[in-house]
Amino acid sequence: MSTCYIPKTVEELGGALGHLTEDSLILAGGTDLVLHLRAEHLQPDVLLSLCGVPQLRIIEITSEQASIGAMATMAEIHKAMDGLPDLQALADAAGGVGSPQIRNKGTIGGNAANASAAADLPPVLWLLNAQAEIMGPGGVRRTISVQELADGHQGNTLALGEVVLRFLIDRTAFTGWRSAFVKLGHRSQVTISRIGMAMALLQAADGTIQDARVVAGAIKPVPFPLPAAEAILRGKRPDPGLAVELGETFKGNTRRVYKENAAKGVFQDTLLRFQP
Amino acid sequence: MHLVGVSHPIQDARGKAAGRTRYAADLVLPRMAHVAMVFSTVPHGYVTSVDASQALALEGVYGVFHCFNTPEYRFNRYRSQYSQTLIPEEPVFARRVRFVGDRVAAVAARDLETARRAAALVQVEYQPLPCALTFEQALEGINCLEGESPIRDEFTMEIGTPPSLEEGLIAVTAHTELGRLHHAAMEPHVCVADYDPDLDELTLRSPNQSVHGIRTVVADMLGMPYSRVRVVKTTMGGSFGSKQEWTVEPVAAVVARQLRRPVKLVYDRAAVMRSIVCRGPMRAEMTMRFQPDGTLVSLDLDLLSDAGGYIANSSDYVHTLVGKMFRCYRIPYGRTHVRLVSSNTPVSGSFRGWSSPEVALMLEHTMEKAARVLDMDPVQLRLKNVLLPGERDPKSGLPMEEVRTRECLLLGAERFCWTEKRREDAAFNAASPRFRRGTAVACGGHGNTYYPRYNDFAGVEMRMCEDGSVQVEVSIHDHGCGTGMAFQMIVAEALELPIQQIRLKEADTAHTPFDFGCYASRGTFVVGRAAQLCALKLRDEILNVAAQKLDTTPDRLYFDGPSVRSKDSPEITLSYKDVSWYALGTLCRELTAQEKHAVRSNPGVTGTHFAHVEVDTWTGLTRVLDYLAVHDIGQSINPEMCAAQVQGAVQMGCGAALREEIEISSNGQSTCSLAKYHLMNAPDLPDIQVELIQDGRSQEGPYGAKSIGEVSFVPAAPAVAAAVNQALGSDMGRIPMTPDRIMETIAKEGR
Repeated sequence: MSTCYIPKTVEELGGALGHLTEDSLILAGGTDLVLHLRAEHLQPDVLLSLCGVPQLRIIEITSEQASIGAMATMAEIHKAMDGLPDLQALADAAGGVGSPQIRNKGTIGGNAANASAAADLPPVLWLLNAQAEIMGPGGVRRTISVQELADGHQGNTLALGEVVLRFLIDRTAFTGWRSAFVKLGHRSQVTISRIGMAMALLQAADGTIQDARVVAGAIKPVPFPLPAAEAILRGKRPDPGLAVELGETFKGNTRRVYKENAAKGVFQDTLLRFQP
Repeated sequence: MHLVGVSHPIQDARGKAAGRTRYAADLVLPRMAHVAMVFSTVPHGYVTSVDASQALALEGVYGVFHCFNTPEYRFNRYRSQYSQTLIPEEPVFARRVRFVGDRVAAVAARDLETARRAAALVQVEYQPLPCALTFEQALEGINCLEGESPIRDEFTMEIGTPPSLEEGLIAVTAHTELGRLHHAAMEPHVCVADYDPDLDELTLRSPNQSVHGIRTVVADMLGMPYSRVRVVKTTMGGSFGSKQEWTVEPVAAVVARQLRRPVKLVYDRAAVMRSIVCRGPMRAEMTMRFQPDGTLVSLDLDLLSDAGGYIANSSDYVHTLVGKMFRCYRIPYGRTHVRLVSSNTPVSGSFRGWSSPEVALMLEHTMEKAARVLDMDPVQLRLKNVLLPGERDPKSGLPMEEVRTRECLLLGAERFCWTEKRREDAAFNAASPRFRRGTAVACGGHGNTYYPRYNDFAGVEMRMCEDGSVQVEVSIHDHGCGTGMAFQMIVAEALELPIQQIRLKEADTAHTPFDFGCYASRGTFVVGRAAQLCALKLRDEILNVAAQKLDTTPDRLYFDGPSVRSKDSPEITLSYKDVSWYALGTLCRELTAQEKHAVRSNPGVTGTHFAHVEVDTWTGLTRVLDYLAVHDIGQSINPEMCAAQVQGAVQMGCGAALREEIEISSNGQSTCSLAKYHLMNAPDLPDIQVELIQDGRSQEGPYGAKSIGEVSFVPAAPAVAAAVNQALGSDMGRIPMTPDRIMETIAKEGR
């Protein structure tokens, strides 16, 4: 017999977290968990639903910081971030997840904590050096980098009874930057990424790239930065013609010949997002 | 005509849009049990034990049925006519499992959740046998037991006269290999079975394409009189051939009888993809010989087909394929050599078009290559070789009648701006380092009935109610495309009644006349004609009764809307109600009509499709930029629904050409999730234009109608595949042309 907790406040959530055991499950948007529950006939001793805590859904953007509640949906994130140059990659990634139905249910916390290799938000969270604020039993809080959240095996490093409360992005570190995310799937929409490309550029007035960050997803169990690609970009303009050279940086990063070859196409599509 | 040829919403559009329409999965009967299946996890082996103790220990589990505790009932999933002598090769619960997904056991419980949970607890042990997962392994016969041959069927067929002189002919050979396809109907496979042990009566409700076919199979399997087995066709959410083969019905029938409870069996998507039926894989080498002017002289086809775990319809399917080859082009001589193997993979079977789309992919691939070798425009090459009115199908010997492929090509080339597009593509490709565009055409033919392979007929009964409205009994199986409305329109047109005055429901063996089923695109052409003829007979009946009432002869009367008038006394108007009342009250009989229609023709029916694509040579993704389908349809009954069927077919064809494939892993697991089976969805489709050419009317179809449901799919994948090859200047024959395969080709050929 399962017990279901549906806390209404962060304080109640802190209390409920103390009841979790190794056999418990945490429900966010449910777009992955519900499928697992059904397919594997899972019978958790405790099911903790995060759906009842309104505070977890809050997205707060100031000029210094973006705070995104773990239960903010893909649709909400897309709407809130779209058009903000430094955060555009997050809008792109959230706006391209699954179908509208998935985007209305799926959450950033679930996407990051579920830690599928093909998840679209983690590469962007890595790109923007996001921090994850975590709460444990009794309401104890700690903050870690998103890089520390992934365990490297398509799982997370959260301890028993911990949940992500929100993600924090320091916007002051990206003043003047623009970012974009492009995914390659089997079709243009409702598709799982075969390559996810998150890129952020700091450009001079004439378009010259002063600094660049590139993180790829859906290749390895966790996203990975591509310093070689960043080096190619620095000092140049975001010319789509750079894609061939950038594509070469994928070599050795994947055993899939297709992905190695297709990388240049994704690079080019990403560069096209930075055209004046 | 004021109804036929005018678009009407389908009969259940309102109910479906509101979510009120009831499908089989919505049915609930008192005491009903829910059934979940246990499927084989090994590709080939013997079931050595089934331990159901944990499953039975769950509260609410009624029973677990498998080969060790249930009589060995066997059937043939493909049998749809009493006269077919097919081996009942398939047991309801296998002891020798032949593919991952073969049925091992069924669990019945008070609700679906409990049944599925219990099914997961059933422990099955296997003694594995060597398995064949590829053509090569099947050909080697590594999965054959003693006495079994790797080649399950082999034949050579020659049609026509071989060319007297090979000299001077230009031979073009193309290799085409087709992967497995999933039908992807929205509704899964479902059956609700109800057995009454006291009356020994069995009722099966399911979405299916032949109630009488199921009755034949299930009654024979259980040894019951046909009259005690009732099969009701429920509202169907798509079939595309997958509900032409019986898989859930025999299982539900056996469990209901063993359990003595009504049962409901619902497959989920994974089970439908793995365990029902797929369009099977084929490997073909085709050689066409042409005169230098592009006239096709002869054709050779060497075909290898894989039936999958059971033979099912595969032998018939490849025989049919040979016939379908002659439905579009003039082929003076055709020679085919066909071999069929059986691997340990999902069962191959019926798929929309029933081998026409498959052979069209082979024909059009070779034709495309020929256009390049002959340096001819693809449209011109086809114009030279398409069958024309007055010609015959050389295989069946039947006239093609008023076939309009030539007109489809001409109209399509003009509407699609063929010449301009080809020129623009060349300029675009010269300028673009990354993207390549291609424009291509494909033709394809089909039938309207399986006649003359087998005799084909349909029967219809009608009765007029007291108020003059009409009830029709006919065994139709609407796939979701509005057959019901089309038939109401056919009948209403003939009787000059408003559509609302016609009641016409779907097939039910307890009430509707015998019928073979709605497949082979025979629904409208054969059964629809019977409905029209029956309505005309009822008209005669109305005139006869009216003449008696008016004390005159029928030839002095005429119809004026839904009423009868007298040529001699203009003031007299008899409504249908007046006539019906007179028949019932005075003549003591009901106004009824019964008619049968035996088909004697199968006219040419073809489609010509034009596709414009853009291939991303850096990612291998292909976009379909523009699409036009031109169809020689005779008279369309419900034009917008015909166009919608064509658009749906193009969606399937684009997917079949570019993305969709059930793949088999090295341990025999097949793709069984739509997350990994990449259907073409709406955002990736262009506005699909449809043109219907309606002057090539059939002699026998209702109001001159010809088929549309299957023929619309025939040229779709060939057109898209040809456009990709045109874009890349390549000769890919492996379908689907997935991004990975396109990238491999580019890497290999350095394009």
